[in-house]
Amino acid sequence: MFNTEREAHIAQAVLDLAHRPAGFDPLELLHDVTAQAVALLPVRGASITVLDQDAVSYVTASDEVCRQLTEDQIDLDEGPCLDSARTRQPLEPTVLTERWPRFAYRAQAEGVTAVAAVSLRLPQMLLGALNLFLTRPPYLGGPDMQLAQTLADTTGTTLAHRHELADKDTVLTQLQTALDSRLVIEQAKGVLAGRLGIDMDEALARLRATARSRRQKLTDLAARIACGNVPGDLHPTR
Amino acid sequence: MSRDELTRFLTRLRRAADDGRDLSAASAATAARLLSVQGLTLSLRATSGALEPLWGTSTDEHAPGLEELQYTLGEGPTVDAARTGHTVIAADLTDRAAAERWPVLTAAPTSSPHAVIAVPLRLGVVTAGVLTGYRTTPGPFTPTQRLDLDAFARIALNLLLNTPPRTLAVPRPGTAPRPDVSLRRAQVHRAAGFLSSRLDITVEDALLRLRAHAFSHDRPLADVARDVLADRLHLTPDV
Repeated sequence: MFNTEREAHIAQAVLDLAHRPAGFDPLELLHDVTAQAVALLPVRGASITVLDQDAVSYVTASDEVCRQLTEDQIDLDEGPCLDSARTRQPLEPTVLTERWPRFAYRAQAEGVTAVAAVSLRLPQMLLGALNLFLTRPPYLGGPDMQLAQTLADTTGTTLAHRHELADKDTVLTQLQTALDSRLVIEQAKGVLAGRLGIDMDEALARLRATARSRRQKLTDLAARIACGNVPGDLHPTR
Repeated sequence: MSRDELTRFLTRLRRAADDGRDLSAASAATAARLLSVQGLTLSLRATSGALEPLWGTSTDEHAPGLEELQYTLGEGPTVDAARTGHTVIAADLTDRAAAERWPVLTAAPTSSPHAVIAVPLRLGVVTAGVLTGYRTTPGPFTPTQRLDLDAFARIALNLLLNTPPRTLAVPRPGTAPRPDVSLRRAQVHRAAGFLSSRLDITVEDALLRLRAHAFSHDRPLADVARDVLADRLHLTPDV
């Protein structure tokens, strides 16, 4: 099915970014997309910046150098990542030149000679960018940039579904808890019917009465009884 | 024939789910007809992983004999779909592939449906339950049919999540349980409790004992449960 090992890695990376448990940590997801970018693309490193109004903030990076180079741009208030973020445009691989003299100097000291960026979008809004740090030509081609955008888009979609998923997961847990509780209560009714020779209505009435008088949750009492531990004070109701 | 009707049905249910309605908005008989299956059931997974059927076509129709048998034996397409999170299809339960995968189920005397499709209801990485379709004729499920079942499964999950938890709670005295969405096997769990106290074994072992008896005597589990509770059937600890 896959022609190359790389294709299989790409599919796995996309799946990994899309397949997150409810309530996952968004920061971990953003860090993972930088790691996937480094694993799949000819880049030195990657970082994530987010845009709030016109302010650009650093979020995470694949490594210390890229964290520093991203924060440098914010501190110096110059650099391709900032321009790209502020114009809300992706950045084709761009060689660091005199346009950003102070940043270019710092980047070159780390061997980084060019930078590219793709947009990190939620379905309805721009969130920020996935920045890519490059060391030598040939720099990223069209298909590489497309892959970077796919990784960023997958991340955006996963982030967008996070709330919805977390809400639904909570609801599911409540339903399952209700189901668990019901099962154990039915079992306890059966135990009482078998032990005391009473019918199901009577068994439930005694369960309720006993739970009330002991100020115990019906489910907890039922769980205890279902384990065969029938309290002695399950007196007949009047 | 019913392509338009299915589309309208799904659109209506999607809206019902958005409006907060639960599975009672969906007629199981209509859904089964439009999805070209004879039986259709939906099970919710308890925290233990056990499947509890909550909704479906009525139990005297084709399917549920096999559904119950899957729970009885702990093997089958529905059980596998819940465990793996993948759709499981048995195009012909009498063929060799099915016999190798589910040796006990396929050897059982009562497997009247010939084809089964089990679609997991997935929520992120969690499998919330399984939608199972049963067909009396063997043969593959077409891609269109699979897509239709997937579409219905997605909507059914949203309807399921709208179920008020109290629907699953013990019915209050004087209120009738809702027939459309309810714990369908309450009687079986009562019988397991009953038997556990009579034989002094755990509820889990008692449930296995009930299932073993149902299987070896080729009887519906629900009937065995009823007889145990009525003290008409006295099971011994050993099979």
